[in-house]
Amino acid sequence: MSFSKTIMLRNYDGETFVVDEVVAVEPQTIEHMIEDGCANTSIPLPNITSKILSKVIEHCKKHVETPNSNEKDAKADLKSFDFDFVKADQGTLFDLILAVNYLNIKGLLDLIYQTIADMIKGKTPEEEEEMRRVNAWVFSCFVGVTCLYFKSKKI
Amino acid sequence: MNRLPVEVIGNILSHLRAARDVVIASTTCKKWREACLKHLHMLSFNSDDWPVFRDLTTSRLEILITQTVFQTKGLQGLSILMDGVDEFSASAVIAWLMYTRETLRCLFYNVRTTPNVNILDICARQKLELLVLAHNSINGVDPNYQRFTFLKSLSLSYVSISSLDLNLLLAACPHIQSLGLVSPEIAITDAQVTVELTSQTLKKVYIEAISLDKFTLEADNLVKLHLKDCALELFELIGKGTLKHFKMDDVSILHLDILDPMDDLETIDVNNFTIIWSKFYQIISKSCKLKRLRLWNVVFDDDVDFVDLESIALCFPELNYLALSYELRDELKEGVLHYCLQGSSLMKNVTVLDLGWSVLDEHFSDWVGCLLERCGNLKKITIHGVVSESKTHVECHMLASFTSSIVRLMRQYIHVDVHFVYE
Repeated sequence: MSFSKTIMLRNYDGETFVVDEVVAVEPQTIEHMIEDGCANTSIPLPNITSKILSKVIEHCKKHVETPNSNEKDAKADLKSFDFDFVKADQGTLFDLILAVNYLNIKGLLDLIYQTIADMIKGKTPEEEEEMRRVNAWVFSCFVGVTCLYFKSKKI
Repeated sequence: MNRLPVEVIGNILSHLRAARDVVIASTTCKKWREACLKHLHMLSFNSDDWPVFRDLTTSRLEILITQTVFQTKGLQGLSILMDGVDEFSASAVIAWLMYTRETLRCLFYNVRTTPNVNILDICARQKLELLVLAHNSINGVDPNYQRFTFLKSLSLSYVSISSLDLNLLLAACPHIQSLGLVSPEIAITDAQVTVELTSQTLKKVYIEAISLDKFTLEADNLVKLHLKDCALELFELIGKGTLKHFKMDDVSILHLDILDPMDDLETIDVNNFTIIWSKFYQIISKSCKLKRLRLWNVVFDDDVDFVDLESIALCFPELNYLALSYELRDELKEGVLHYCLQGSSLMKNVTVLDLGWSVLDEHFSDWVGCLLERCGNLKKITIHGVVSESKTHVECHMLASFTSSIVRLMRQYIHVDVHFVYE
């Protein structure tokens, strides 16, 4: 029976998550904290909510547990997991970006970046403006409204 | 609520890649514009991305690319793949490369330049990790001056280069791992067209559409080798037994010299190749770790020298995928069956079989039966056949009796999943 070390992560809501060390080191930020010896009690992650943290842990777990083989089935399985993982609403995706950026998980970060880029792709400036309006709290600078006036030929 | 930092917006927009999408995105607001100017990593000008590219004149395109590239800062990836363009002017190309070379990590470029631009000169001693070049010439390589310390992957398609320069180029890349050569124009210096490549770090080699008198590849750390559409009189492979995957598609080699123990081979995939089984077998017989063996559309010479299943069963105990497809003349079919029935060693680990013959007759179904007997743990079998467009009465009858015999055969192996692929 192997003894696997676990790490405690305490988040913004005060909740504690216990994770296997092999999963916890997927985020580079945590890996560095463990290396520097700051992980003896629990690792504080004050800027991440429970909802987001559990999603991130779910992703790390899946990728750690899937054997790194070249087998078609394993790769297809991971791909379909990733595809479903990013089917969240835009708000969740943006929360995820901030969390994953802080935690520094390259694979997951690239996946989310690509998902959002695909949403932006092929849209006209008007459609993008619409997208911004819906998520105004993110795209919150509006100096560009001037150029939109020119585009919609309201002059 | 939090705002996304401008660097993060830059990361997202870098995943857009296509220049038109990036430029449109940059017009939505000041923050996105700033992200595109200062934090964009990747930019791609691909004739497939936007139909209007094909309608623009070459000079308009050059202006468009120059204006877009020069507004970025710190670009790490640049891709210019314009199929409709005959040639770009050297001054424009030099400008794009000199502006980005200090931060550029990957470069894709496939347009001829007039006069020829020495891309290696411009990008040497910088950070380039991936270079994909097509339709250009490389004249004169100096490994001392043109050093690519970070280059891991190099791909040259329709590039004109001398055999000496090709080897010098490899020497100029001390950490190269992957090399792809597609239809190179090798300048002939001797009476023979020879290419000799040496690299201690190469792991993956892909060669397509090359015709040489002699090709020597010396790579002590080679893991994957794939040859396609090649005609080689003499092919020499020198290594230290690290090769794991060996694939040949439509290749003709008169003399195959392998000075490599081949101990670690896991995959052998040969398609459309004329082989002398005994010679080939000698080369691969020590690969006891072999997991996948595919000999497809192989033609056997007059010699009664066929793939004998007994040797395959004994030499490759870990085999889990076997694919055999023969082009056989009638007289040789009895011989094949004879070889099949010799010995009875089982192939316990084979779970997937792909079998194909040029004609679907009772000899084929007997042969399928032979193989089914040996593979006790088989899960899936796919039968490949060629069906001619105009079917004579005789052919229809043959196909019908073949189908009946396979149905009878598979009744004994109900746990095996059967598939048919007819071309």
